[in-house]
Order: sequence, then C-alpha cells, then structure tokens
Amino acid sequence: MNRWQKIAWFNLTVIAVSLLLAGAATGTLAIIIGMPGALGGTGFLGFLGLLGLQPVLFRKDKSKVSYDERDVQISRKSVILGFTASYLFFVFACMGCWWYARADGMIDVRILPLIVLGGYIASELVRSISLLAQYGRGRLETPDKVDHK
Amino acid sequence: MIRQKKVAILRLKIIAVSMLAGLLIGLGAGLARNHKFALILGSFIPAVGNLVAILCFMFIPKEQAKISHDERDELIKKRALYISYCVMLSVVVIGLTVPFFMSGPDGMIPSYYLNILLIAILSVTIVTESVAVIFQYGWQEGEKS
Repeated sequence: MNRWQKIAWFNLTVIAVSLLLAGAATGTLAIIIGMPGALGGTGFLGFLGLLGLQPVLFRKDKSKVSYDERDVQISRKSVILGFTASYLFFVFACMGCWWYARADGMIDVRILPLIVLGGYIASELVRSISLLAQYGRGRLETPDKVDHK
Repeated sequence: MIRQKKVAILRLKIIAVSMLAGLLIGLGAGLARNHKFALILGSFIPAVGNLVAILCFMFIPKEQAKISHDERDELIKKRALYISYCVMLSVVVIGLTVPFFMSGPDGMIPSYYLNILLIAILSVTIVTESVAVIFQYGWQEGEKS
C-alpha cells in the first residue's frame, strides 16, 4: 500500500467515525432533551480536525521515489471528482434549504457554516473513495516505488 | 483555432451578455419599484445564460477529419477544471460565511440568497474555467492548429 492509499484509508476512517459519533449523539440527545439542544451532538464533527494530521502521520520517505506520473494522474482525477462532489452537495444543500424555507422565506444563518462543512466532507469522502477505487481497493497491492540506492 | 478555445470564448461571451442583460433588466425593474419582478428576472436571465454556456459546446461541431484532442489538451482541460473548482470553493466559503458573521449567530437571511449564490457560483466557475483554458492556449491566434 502506498502513501496515497494510506492517507485515503485514514480519511475514510476519520470521516466515518466522526459522522457515526455525531449521528449517534444527535439522535440520542434528540430523544432525551429534544431538538434544538440535540444539535450539540454535531460537536463530534470536530474529530474531522484529525484530517489535518495527514502530513505528520504519513511522512514522505526521502530515500524513495514515492510517486510517479500514474500516481499524479490518479491523484489529480480524485481531486477533481472530490470537487465535483462538493459542488453537487452545495447545489443540493442550497436548493434544499430554499425549498424547506419557502413558506416563510427566511433561513437561519447557523445552517450556512454546516453547508460549508458538508461540502468539505463530501469532497474528502469522494476523493478518498475515488483514490482507492483507482488503485484497485488494495487488492492489487501498489508497492512503494523502487529504492534508488 | 482549437475547438476547446472556441468553446471557452463563446462561453465567456454568453456569460457576459446574460449577466449584463440580467443586471440591466433587474435594475430597470428595481427602479420601477417592482422588486419581485426585478429579483426573478435579474436571477433568471443569468441562470439561463449559465445553462446555455454549459451546453454551448454543442454549437461548435467536432472536425471529423482531424485529431482534435491530444494529451496536452486533456491536461489543459483538467488544469482549467482544477483552477475553476478552487475559485468556486473560495466563493462558496466566502458567500456562506460572510452572512453568518454579518448577521450574527441568531440572524436570518432570505432564502433566495442561496439561489442567487448558486447562480453566482456557476457563473464564476464557468468564467474561471474559460479564462484558464484561453490563458493556457495563449491569448493570441495561431498557437496550435
């Protein structure tokens, strides 16, 4: 498994755990204390901050050539797919909010940062899945590149 | 001129005309105190313009006799898309966080703001992609046949 695949698996794990914890907490709190207060459960989405640890956890090995042109192509395609997913998320979120609020015509501004966060999650999720799909989901092990020494 | 560049230039023209038309008609209706009409037309015309701009590649047919596309064109297209998405994300983040900070955590905004934001995002994406394509092929004619 090469560095990009490890990063993709790390991203998927962090996103899945964060969404699961936030969903479970919000659902539980909604049953116990009711809806506005239950939104506090979304605080578990703060675990997404762990995604920022990628460069520290998966350092480049200076002694090896860590990627070639094929890796660059795969990475570029994944990034574009991730961006497309986030764009589609924004379209659906904005149109959904507009449709939901069509009766009184006003939207709570607290939703807006959540849309940004949702777009980021969609982007990272699709990027990681696409990366793994292009490398063959780990079945065909992509070895680290040849040592130059 | 290469087809991709022709499409980019046509897209820029369509967006410019639709934005200008939407702005002028919206302003005209706004001055006539018909605010609802101004809002609908002012956003509807650019929205239709965006749609036409996306589909305008159908107006420029492929030349069957030539190989119209190589790896360099593919790279230019991908790079332009990447740049346009980066700009789009910046506009989204600014467009969604500025109202939050301006109106405070308990504020409310009109729901049509999100529709206008979406139209603006689409326009910005198309314009940035077109400019990136034209810039990479060069502004002048005759760089690649």
